[in-house]
Amino acid sequence: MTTTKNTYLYGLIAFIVMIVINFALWRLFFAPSHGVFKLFTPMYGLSLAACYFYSIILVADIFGYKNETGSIGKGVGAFISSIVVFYVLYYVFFWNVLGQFGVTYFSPQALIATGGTGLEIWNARENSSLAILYMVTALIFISTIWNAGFGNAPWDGLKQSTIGFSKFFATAFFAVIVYAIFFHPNITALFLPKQIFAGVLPWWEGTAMTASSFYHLGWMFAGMFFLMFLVDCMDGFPFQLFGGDDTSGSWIGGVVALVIAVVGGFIFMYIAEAIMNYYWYEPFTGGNYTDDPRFRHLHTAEIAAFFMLALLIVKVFFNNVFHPANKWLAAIVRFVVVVAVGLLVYWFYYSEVPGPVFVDRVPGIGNTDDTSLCWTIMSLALIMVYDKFFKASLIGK
Amino acid sequence: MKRRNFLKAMGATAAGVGAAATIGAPTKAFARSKTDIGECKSLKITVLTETSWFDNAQFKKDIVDNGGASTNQYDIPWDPKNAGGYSTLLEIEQLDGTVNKLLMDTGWSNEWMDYVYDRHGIDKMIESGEIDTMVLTHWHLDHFWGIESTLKHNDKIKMYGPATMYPEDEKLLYGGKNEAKGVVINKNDVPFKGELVKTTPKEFYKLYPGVAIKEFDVPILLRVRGENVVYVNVKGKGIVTVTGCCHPGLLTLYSTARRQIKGGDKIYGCYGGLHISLFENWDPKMDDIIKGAKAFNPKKMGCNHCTGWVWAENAAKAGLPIVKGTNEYKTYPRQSSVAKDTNVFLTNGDTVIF
Repeated sequence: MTTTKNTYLYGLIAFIVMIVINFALWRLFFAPSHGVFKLFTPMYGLSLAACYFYSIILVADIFGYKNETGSIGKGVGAFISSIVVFYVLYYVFFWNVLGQFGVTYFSPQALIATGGTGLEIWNARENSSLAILYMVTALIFISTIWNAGFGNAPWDGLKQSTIGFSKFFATAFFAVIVYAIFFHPNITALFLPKQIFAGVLPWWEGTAMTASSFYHLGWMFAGMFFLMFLVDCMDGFPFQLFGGDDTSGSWIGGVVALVIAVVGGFIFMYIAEAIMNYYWYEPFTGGNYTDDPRFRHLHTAEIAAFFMLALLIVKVFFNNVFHPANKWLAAIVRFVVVVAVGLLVYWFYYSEVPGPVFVDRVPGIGNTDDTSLCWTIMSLALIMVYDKFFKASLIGK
Repeated sequence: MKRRNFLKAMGATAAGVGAAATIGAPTKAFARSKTDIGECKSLKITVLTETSWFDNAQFKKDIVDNGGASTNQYDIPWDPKNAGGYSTLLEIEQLDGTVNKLLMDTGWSNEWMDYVYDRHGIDKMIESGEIDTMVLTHWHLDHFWGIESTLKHNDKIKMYGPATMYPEDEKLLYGGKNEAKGVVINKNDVPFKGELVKTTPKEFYKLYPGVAIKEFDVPILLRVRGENVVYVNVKGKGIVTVTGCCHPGLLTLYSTARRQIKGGDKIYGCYGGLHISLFENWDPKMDDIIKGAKAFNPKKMGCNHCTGWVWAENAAKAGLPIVKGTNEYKTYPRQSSVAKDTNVFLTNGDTVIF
């Protein structure tokens, strides 16, 4: 991104405006107690936020439709496109096509119609939302890997629309496989009796101490943080070594991205959970709140998302802060800054007063009716809308 | 890059990246010193009422229509016809044969609680001072909003409640009413004049030999925070937990006993709502609780209220020692819509001795 105005001053103004918009949006859509629509239940709100986040990635990074020239019309068009994509994906495709004619659990109405144990509007919608969250997570995970490593390969040089559709179908294909292996078994275990003919029992249970796919959510979010850091704070290193310019990539770059996402994700989870073990003792099967292994894995994802949010704040509003000649020094300093800002956001969310007032939550940690992911992902989406659709018009030109 | 080469190379490397090793938990947390809460001879529980509401679907509808699990309980115009309440009588026999009576929670509907107290003679026990202490487990409507039914028999009864109370709770406790969307949702015409011990997680509050309260400062649904749990150490048997809703989680209570109570590594049982399948749904987490509970090897588990019949039935099938109830509840004027003949709940009027 090229900027011609005082980056830090305008970034600071934009950041403050973003906080105000964030507060307003949260109160309008999600805030559970003082909100208007109160969609944070929590899974319904979380899946909505995640789905919109994916819609932005789809429009801007997969189809490449973003505002890099300062055209406000293009920015508005891309923004509206992302909303339309979100609506069609969530309410038309998942709820009324896939859920009604294919896989029951993607539609609350279809679930309720089965008359199964506990399947009334609340539980049915939460279960459907969890399934949609998982599917969208798989799509985001694969899309992030693809954009980081594969870039536009192997369709370089083709029309943008051709590249877009090719990348979409390729990423969707792999995402369906990721979903089937890592998430589908959790969903099939949500029902009584367990749907063992439709999906295997969660195969990771022995290792993760839970049947929940929050285990995979944890390392995938952590892996995505590393990829985002490499792309946004290290100018695409090491992927640019295999690609060339910032849009072309290579299969080697893609494989490297996949390895970094998986290995980095598990290393992050190992460190995060070791720290949690130190503070909260070791979790145990069947424990609640911070004793719950399921929560520990989810919390890994929550921490990674805080770091992702910090990363975007530092990069989008403050132009990565530090620009020495030595790229390794830059990387180290930026990493420290991102982690510090991420921890600050963590403290804010889980504090006794400011976070709970801002986000409209009861202070405390580990509540099954609460997850920071919804607010964090909504915040990520908000910054990405600004960065990809409007920043070039407001600051860049 | 040629597409053919791209796909070939990708296929050749795919197998090598899919199997990341999983990593176990690394460290032991630091240990804390243990508290000696003493011992008692036995504990008798009488289920005064565990039917906090009668129609599960209506209760869910009230919540869903007003925002969901985290919305403020004081913002919901609850259906007053659905209100019941949760309340328990604990009779603790000491080693010397004396018996202490302790009231846990005071229900929701005053009309229902007046009936329950009259049926079990609780009103007279409060008036006579036979019951002089009440443990309020938490500030949820079905455990607290019936406070007038207790205070009108003794407005100076000693109370233990979580320190994390809201202004609306104080308003009701000290004489007042609350409205939601123009509807009066609770009232108390008898201001509380006694001592309220505001509990925090920092300590065990010892009531009698072998009996102590522990507060767990956890966020729970309907914007409530914190829950008191009564730990009872029965000589020769072990620890029994008595809970209102058990939001912190049964196994967390057991684990806390092991870590923090002298002799707490011997778990005997539990009584109360266990907050597992409040709305009779299923989740792998509920399987986890069954597996986890088996690891603690409890001998006697009495459950009801927010436990979920579906969970209690599956737990009993899985071999957990679920104490079955009787049909006494059918002699009450109203019954819960989720009650079944399997009687895996200790229901209204049932007793259990630990």
